[in-house]
Amino acid sequence: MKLDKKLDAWKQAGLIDADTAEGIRTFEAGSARPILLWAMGGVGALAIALGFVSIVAANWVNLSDYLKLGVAFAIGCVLAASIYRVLDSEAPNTDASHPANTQWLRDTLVIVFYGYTLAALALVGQIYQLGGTVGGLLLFWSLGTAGLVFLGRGRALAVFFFLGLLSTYHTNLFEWAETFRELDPAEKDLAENITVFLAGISPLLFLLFSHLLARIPALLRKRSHFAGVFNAGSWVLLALLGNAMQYLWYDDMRGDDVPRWSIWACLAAGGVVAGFIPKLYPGHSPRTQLGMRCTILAVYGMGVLGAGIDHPELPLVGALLNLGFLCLLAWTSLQVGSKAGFNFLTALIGLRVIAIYFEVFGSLLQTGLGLIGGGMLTLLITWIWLRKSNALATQLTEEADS
Amino acid sequence: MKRRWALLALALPLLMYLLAIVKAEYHLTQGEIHTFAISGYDPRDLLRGHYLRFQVDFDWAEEPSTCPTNPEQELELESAQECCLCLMKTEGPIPKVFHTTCQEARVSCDGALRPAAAKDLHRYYIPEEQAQEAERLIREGWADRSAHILVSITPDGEAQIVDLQIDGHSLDDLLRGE
Repeated sequence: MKLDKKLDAWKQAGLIDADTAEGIRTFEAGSARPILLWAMGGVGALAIALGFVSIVAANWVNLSDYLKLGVAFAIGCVLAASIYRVLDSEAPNTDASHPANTQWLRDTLVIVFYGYTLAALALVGQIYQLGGTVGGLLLFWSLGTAGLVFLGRGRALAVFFFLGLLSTYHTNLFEWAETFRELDPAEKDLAENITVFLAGISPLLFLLFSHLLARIPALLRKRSHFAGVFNAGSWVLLALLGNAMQYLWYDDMRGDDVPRWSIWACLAAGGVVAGFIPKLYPGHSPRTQLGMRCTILAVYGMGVLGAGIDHPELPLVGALLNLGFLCLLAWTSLQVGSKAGFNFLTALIGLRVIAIYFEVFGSLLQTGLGLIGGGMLTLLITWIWLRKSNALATQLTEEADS
Repeated sequence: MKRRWALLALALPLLMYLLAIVKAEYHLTQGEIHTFAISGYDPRDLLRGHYLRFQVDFDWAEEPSTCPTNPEQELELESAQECCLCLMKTEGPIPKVFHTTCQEARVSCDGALRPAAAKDLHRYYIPEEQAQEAERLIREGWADRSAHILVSITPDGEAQIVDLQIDGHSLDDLLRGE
């Protein structure tokens, strides 16, 4: 509908003739993807998978344990057989009448089977009253389904796989950290530093994993969404981590209980990955690569400033650093060519400035100074925005055209 | 080749499910059942989601411990020889317990329980619909000290809860009204 309106407007403006408009319309219709179908499939599959988990959690007493285990196994067999049948119908020597539909069906079934496996393993733990940890269960599940997820191809499946691995990684890390209470002080310090380091570099690990996925030809050819989703997810994680760094300034960071060297180690790891950005993203412009490098270094640099060195509670410093970080993210989005990301971050910057107003309310003197400072900051951002907006608009238009 | 890969990828989750069942069943066949009294470590909040939380009240023997109870000493010892709970049967259903090395416990005790396995004995899954009823029953059981768990303990010290009983009756049976 939107395309038709635009084509009519261009025709009336004399930019294109009727044949060209019809050609564009035909081309777009041919390359259109059933987004609604895919979205509904993802939502439906997720609902079914969560339904399995919920039924297991309800621990229905009216069924005997062996019957519950048997029914769960039968459901698994039906799901596995269904997926195999769909895969078989897509084989090159068979006549698949609707490849897009079978791909949708396959992805939906794989998502359901992915969720079902977690529910089935939880069922065993519940029936036999196994006392293991959630992290252990997630690890067992992730290992067991690593091959299964690669039978699908879609973006929704890749998102669930990413979230599954992320949950497994961080839950195990958290549970491992819980065991430190029993260690002696020296070992506890070492273990805490290792945990902070592993948690801190997790976006980098996922980023490198995404590039590993992108370098496997078989995956790249038919499952390019996996690398793309892991890559985008890693940058979102990095942005969230950078955003969280402001809170280090909302606490007093003087004392020996802060895991110092791990923060510096994270910066070193970030520096190494930033150094490899041109190799990881060779197709991107030097300015885009610069934006990516600056983002990585800013995240871990803020970590070092916030927790690597002693400082008292200084919330305004945290807020200003966060504002600077959001500006950097907005600029990087612009370099990457993400207009939506740029607009979203610009809105966030506005909200953050308003939040600063509320944060500085206190005594009359603090409130007055805070309002003056906040007002000046708002005017400064608006002035920069006005000066740069024309150049930004031109750049966005050029990128959209290209 | 692709079909083989697909079959393997589809079979693996089902095999892991079966493996988990077989492992749990094997544990029950290898283990010996021991009974322990239990109590709630936070009486205001026994119910967490769909499981009850409790702690095991071991019936400690007056035997001198041959295993250090100081955490630092225990850590030093663990690298050389692991520490276990030695279970000694009594005339009643609940065994007497004391610390000793696992090697010693396996030779001279009626059961040896690894400390890590003992720490895992803190929750019992219950049906969602009867959660409040289960909580009420177990509160009564704690009040007259008749709440027990039956634990299957293998010769190598691993533990698995078999049942939670109130006054000798299975909680699951009581909830079913049997």
